Amino acid sequence: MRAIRRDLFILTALVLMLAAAFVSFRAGLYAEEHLVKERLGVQREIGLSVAAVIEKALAYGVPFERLVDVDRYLEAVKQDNPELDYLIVLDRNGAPRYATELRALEGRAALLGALSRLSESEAVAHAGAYFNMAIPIKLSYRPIGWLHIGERSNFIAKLMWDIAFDILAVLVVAILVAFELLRLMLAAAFTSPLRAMQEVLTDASRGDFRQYLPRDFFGGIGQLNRAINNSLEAINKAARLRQAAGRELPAGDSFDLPNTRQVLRINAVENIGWPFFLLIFSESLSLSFFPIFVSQFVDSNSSISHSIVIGLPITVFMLVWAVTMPYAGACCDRIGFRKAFGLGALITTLGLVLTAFADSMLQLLLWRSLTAIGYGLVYVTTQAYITSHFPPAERTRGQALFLTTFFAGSLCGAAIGGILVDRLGFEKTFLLSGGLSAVASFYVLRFMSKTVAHSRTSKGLGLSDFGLLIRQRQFATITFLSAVPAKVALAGFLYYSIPLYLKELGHDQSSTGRIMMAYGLVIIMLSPLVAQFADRARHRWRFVMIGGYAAAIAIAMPLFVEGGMGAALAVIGLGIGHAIGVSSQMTLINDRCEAVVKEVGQAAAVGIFRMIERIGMLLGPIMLGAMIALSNFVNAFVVMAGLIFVATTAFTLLLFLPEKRPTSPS
Amino acid sequence: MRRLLIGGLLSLPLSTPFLMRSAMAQRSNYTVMLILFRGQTTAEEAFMLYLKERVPVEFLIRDIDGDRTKIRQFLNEARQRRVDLVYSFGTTVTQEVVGVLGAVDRNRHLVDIPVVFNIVADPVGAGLADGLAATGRNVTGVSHLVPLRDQISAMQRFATIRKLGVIYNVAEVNSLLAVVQLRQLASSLEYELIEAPLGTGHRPSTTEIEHAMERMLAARPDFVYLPSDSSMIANAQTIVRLATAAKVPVISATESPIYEAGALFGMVTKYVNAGAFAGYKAEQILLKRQLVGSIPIERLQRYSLVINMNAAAQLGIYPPLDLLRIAELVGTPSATR
Repeated sequence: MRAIRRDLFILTALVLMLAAAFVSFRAGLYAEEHLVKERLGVQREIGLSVAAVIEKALAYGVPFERLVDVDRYLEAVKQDNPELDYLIVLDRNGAPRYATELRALEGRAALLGALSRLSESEAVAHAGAYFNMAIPIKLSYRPIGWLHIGERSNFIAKLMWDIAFDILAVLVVAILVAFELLRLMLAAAFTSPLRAMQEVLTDASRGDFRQYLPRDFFGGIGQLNRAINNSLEAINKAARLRQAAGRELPAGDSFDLPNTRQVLRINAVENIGWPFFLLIFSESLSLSFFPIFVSQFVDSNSSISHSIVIGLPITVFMLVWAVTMPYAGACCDRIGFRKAFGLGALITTLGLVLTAFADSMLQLLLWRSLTAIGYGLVYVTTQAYITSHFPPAERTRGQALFLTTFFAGSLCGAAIGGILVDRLGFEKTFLLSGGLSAVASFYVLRFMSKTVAHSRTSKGLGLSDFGLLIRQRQFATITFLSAVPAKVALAGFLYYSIPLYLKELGHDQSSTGRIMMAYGLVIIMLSPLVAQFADRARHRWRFVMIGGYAAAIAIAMPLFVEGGMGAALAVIGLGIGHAIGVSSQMTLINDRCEAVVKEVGQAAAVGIFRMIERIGMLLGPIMLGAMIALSNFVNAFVVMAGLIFVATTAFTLLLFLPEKRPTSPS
Repeated sequence: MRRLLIGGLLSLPLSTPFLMRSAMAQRSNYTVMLILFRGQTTAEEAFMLYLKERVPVEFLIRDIDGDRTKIRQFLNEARQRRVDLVYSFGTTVTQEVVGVLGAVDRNRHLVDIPVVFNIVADPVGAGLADGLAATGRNVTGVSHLVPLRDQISAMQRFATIRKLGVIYNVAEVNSLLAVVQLRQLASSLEYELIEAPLGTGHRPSTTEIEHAMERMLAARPDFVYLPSDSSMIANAQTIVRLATAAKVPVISATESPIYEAGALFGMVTKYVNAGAFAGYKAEQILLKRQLVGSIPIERLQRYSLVINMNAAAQLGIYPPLDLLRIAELVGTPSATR
């Protein structure tokens, strides 16, 4: 089955990529032609408006050689159109009269030479390293000078690269969504029904006819369910008739005598993976525009700084999310996965819908907090569910699956949300988010079996659980020296600093988005691979250690490589580090702190771990913000990298020493 | 029954606007008296055009022709004919029509007929109001003056100002107010103010103006400033001729000396815009039934930079390109493309 699944994935990806590549290629060709035309059109418009001003002066009698402050005017036009490299006014003899600041212009002499040689028919031409447009300046219908405007001739190539990267980003999102749907379809149409059928038929073969198969909605293998159910019904009916007639039933066999029609449901990981993806997707729709959305509510007269107020709803969300987690874990342990997820998704839906109609900052904070509670409940439930549905030997693989789904959902949501909001506006996009999370809730409530959580400790969460876990040295080491620094790096470096750093370097929103997307992509691609090794490996702490060092090196990257490339390498490196380290953390805790985890409850332990981890998410932006304010971006990154290096080294020493101990002859 | 009731309730708000409109239509004609200082300007044309398009109205135009003693008889006429609104042009007329704060005489000034003034440079300095806001009296209006600091900044874009000449009539409130401000700005904007005051009443003779100009020009100012002073505006031709002969550009606070007398430029409020704005205020009073005292006195937010290109060519002083781009140019352009 796994082989079939892999082949199907590869096939789907190939078909999708081929189709998308073809469409993109055609679109690219079309776009190139239009881009050039459009760009030339824009250049021409700018040129004509500048020429018109000069001509206005000439028409009212200002002599060409006595125009006042032309250089300053041209410079102002260049400032307004930063893609232009120069504006030069030549007189009739080809001598430059007025121009923008040319001293810093590359190949100035070659350019001026080329311009003076241009014939009058060459409105658009290459001049030196530039793409030049010449516009005549006329008085009484005769040109008495020329305005030349130009930009580097590789500008089209630059534009095309931008578009290519955008298309690539959309392609990645399409493939991820397709994979996620394919995974669900496979599970719904084949894997789950097959397993259910296997179980029911195995029971039947042993003489137990009490379990029925569920009704099928997906039209796969499950189409056989009705026939099998009919047969079971016939057997049970016969048994009931026999009992009513007072005749003896076959010994050792079990029948559905009270006619309860108990239905068997299979808890596949996909059962929760898909709605989880959907919920993360719906919540992440607002990721790319949330700060802009928030800024509508900011009172411009407020005494608090604008940027701090804009950050407020995000911080509150993180905080509520973090605080919710342990309680969410306890709640999930008590009411079971199905109800916990359903409830969480419903609360999220409510929060998102109310957010759409928020009309003050206070309301916004309130509804975001509500959303965070639901989100936290779903997050913890899913993680606990996946943990409990993987055998201990495959736990890391389970965590990797969790993280992959999380990042796939968040990455796709952010990308699609940005596109949607342009067309639908804030309100409708939030409503759509709410609708999607409602679907997730409905799906889980309808299709997931009603079993209660794995660890039925069913006790409330107390401070004692915190104490119990934190006092455990291994738990504290993993949490504070590995998990918290990882989250500080994620929130402080990736979510907070990278957009600001790239903005300072002059990158636009979409290229910033693409660079940040690389983190999610690396996690998605690498986590499953790492998980396979980690589940087989005996020394899982080594993965966490390598992950920590990799993250430290990555964050220091901008020191060695300048500009956007350095930032991109840092983001990719951080993704690699976290893919190696982060999914192993939880498994390591289950390994090392088994007794305590059992005592506290699996889900509650996960909740407490995630909550402490989230302190890092709150700390990250504050720490980096302060360091950047005190010094600059690169120095702040280096200090951050140093801190992570130190934490990782301490982690290694603290875990390495006890591992040695059992081998000593004590 | 319920449906009937709901239908009745619904039709009520729908029908009220019609009821109101028919009530208004009964009021066939409003009478508005315009009291002018010296002839009709584009401000009055714009005022009347604006109102005529919106209100059934009849205008009585009364011109004092520079003689403030005539105002009294016009006010009596306004009371007798029970005009609905009085439009007053300029500071002098407005002061006579409504009286300055603290010296309002019920027998002499209008206290019950709404008054909308226009082309008053500084209503606060002229004692018409405490500030640019609603007065609570029977008067509101439009101030046309661009803040002096902005006018001087525009001048500085042409050339550095070390000496600024100003010719004004001490009998004109507007002028006095402007000169006080010019003196105050002199230290911060680093220029020396050369004053040429005329002190012989509201209608100075050409000879007096020539003498004053000669004295001022002898001090070689960089610019001559022509304030919003009716008696100076009336003699703008003389002032500009003398200044241009001495190669000194004239900057005007109002638009007409630039268009008609060849002053170089000015940062001005167009009379057309001021007139329409005053018309809007009159409409609020007549048609929208707002209390005059609750309508604020306002200044127009849009200024126009007007440059006389013939004067520029004569003086050999050309405006910088970015000013030229946004300016309204006076002169005859030749064709380009």
